[in-house]
Amino acid sequence: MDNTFVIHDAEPGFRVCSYHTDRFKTGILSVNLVVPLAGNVAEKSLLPSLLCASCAEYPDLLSLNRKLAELYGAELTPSASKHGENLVLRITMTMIGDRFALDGESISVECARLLCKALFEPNVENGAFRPDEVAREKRIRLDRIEALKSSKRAYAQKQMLELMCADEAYSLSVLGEEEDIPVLTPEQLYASWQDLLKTAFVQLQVVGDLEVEPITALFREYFDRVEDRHVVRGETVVIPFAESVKRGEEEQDIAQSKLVMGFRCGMHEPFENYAAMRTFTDLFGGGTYSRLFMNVREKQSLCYYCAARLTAAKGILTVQSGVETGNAERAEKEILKQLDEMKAGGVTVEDLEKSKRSMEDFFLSVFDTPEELDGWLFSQVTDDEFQTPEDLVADMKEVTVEQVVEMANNISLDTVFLLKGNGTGDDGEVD
Amino acid sequence: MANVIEHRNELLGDAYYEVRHETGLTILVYPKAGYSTSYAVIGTNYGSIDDALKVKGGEEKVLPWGTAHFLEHKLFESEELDAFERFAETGASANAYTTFDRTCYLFSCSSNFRKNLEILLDFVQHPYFTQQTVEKEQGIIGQEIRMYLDEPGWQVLFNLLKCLYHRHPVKVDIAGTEESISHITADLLYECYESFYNLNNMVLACAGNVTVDEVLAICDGALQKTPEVLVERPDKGEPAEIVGPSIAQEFAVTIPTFALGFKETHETPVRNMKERILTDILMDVVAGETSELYERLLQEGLIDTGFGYEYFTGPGYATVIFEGRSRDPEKVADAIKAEIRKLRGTGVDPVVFDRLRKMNYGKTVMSYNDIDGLANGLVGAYMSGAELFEELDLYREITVEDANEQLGRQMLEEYSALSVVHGPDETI
Repeated sequence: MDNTFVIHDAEPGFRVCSYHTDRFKTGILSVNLVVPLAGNVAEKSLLPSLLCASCAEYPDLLSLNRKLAELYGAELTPSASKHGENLVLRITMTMIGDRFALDGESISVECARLLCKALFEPNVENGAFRPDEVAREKRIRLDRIEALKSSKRAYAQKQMLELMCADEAYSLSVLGEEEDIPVLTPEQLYASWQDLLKTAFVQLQVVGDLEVEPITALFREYFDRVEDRHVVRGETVVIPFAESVKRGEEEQDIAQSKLVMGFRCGMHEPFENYAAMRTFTDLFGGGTYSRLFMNVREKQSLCYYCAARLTAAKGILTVQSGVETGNAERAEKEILKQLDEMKAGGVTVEDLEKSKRSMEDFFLSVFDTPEELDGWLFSQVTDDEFQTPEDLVADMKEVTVEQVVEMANNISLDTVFLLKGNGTGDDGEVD
Repeated sequence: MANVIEHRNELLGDAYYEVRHETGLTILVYPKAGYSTSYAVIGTNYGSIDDALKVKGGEEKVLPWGTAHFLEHKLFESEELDAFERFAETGASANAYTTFDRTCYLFSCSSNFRKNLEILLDFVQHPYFTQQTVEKEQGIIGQEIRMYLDEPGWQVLFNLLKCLYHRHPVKVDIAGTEESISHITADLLYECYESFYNLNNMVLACAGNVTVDEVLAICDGALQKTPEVLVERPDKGEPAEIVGPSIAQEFAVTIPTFALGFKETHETPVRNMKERILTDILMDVVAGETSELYERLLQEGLIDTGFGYEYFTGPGYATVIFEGRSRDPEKVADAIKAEIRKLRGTGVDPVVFDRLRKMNYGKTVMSYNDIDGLANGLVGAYMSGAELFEELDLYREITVEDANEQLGRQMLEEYSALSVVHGPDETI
């Protein structure tokens, strides 16, 4: 069927999601493997990068990259991310539509095969990945962890989450713990890869002008060869309310302080009251009509950015802002004042309608890029029930002012982290 | 009826339309069958490098750095409802941005296109600034400038530009400095607006679920003819020589960030499409993912997967930049320079050239989905005097001889500089 989402469970633990359309120049194929977020994360999250660096047929980075270039710049992209307390390992293949190949060759079939080879036929020697490749990927990962510390906004967000969720699996970083990485061995990663194929819940996503059946058949053939397949699924622990406010602070030689506040959303399970909570978040710190934008930025001139973001898969909400160090306390008070006003009923029908219109517009734009469609499917990789953008828009239309106020009253402040700037931001000098 | 020019590309199966409206505004419309959203962007040929105002026949007036960007922030305001509030009534998502050479205002929507385009055209034609609102904005933009001061990738780029450019204002942050924006007044904003926001100096691009007739009908009702003002972009008199070969800045980072740039001399105001795509391929040859150099640097632990490069070019400036993070930026810079020297000796391998041509062609085809990218691409191409589809045809026409010929003029060591941002405990 064209221009519609098709979701079906090909077999237990193996779901195929597709959206067939010929309106794009690009096709996207992705395989998503879901395992619990627990234990040695690096041992798992390093796998996509390692698998995308070579395979038995193209045994090093150079030969694989040259093959991809010849496939008209097809892109093989690894990623690892958290969905609540699940770890999703993902390999994406992006390619041009067959009709644009200059010599009439079929790019899509070759790309699908190459993705399978990357996942199922890695470059192994004596029951282990190649030591030089493992060493390189470990080093790149350690550098990424270091680089995250240089990205001040992301670093502040990470520190806040680690403090907030200290006793929960959610505090584990998808990049893995710094001390776990140097000791990873090629044998250990190989065993982890075998375990991944055995136990992961699999979601295959096919978007664009690609034929779903042969691609599905190809992946099933490979998965059928995996012995003792038994899917293990993780559960996300959701804490509905904060008991007291935790505080953290770190001083650095930076020009601007980064304030991050973490809230619990009153949810008892992931995505509970999603439409209402998403609407609340938008009115609190989403669009330009939101309270944080209108007051903290526009009226008080305290910052350039001040925004709220809901992580419904874990039932938490974060507010981030960049402020003058001397204004950090004032900004925090102002943010909480805006929340208190919403709790006291400061939500108008007009504002609610603005938010609904804006979100409707936003969710319906999903249909206009292959990346967004792929992302929409991906965002529900841990859900049992699939929702289309239209379904979500319909739910949002039902949200009332009373519900938004109720959501505001369910919010409790859990953690405040301040990355405190003491620098001047002086420039360098030309030698 | 206005004269509509069709630009069609058979391979893509796409077409867009160009109209010169009677008010002087150029209108470009790229309909996309089956799309549910529409996107519109209106841009003026006025960016951060325009640090002087010169109307044809008049005196040159120096402007504080960051004026174009400041004006962008303030144009959203009006005496009654500001533009954000008006878009909130329709549900559209609106934004604006300022680059080195242009300022653009945009929205995307999945309904109410007519209303949204009317709002967009209305607010860009009706400025409203007061001294009080200008002062309030100085605080907000001050924080925007400080946010960038904490981003090593941004700092390393502007430090590099300071090493390469003596006079060209491309070396200054688009938002200006906290000091420079303190000199901006409501009167100055009006003066800049009156000159740079002349419809003859602007272009509107719409893409997605739109038709030419619909856009023209809305424009007919919403555009007001104004006297034509000819704004000039005076030559900056930038010499070929660089300021200095290196720059270093201490920062709260653990792994140094670097940018290696090769400045080029500039006879023409802007680089044409052919020069740009040949440069893209040459950079791929030197250090792309399919190059031996890239694999070697990665294997030796000298770069990570964040390594990249760009052809940084616009009116009066062009620089090839290689950038990334490295524990030993000097060593990476030396390796890149050595590779370029080697390539000058051997010339580009025709097999390599064909592979990269195919790769770049494919990546370009894949960029034709996104209406946001297409509408902004139309504005960019128009302002640099190019035609959007030209690029796809060029990938079939260019030859390895073209690449070798261009290499003779590019990536010259004597015009190169290395910018590094490093942690406090390192000595570079």
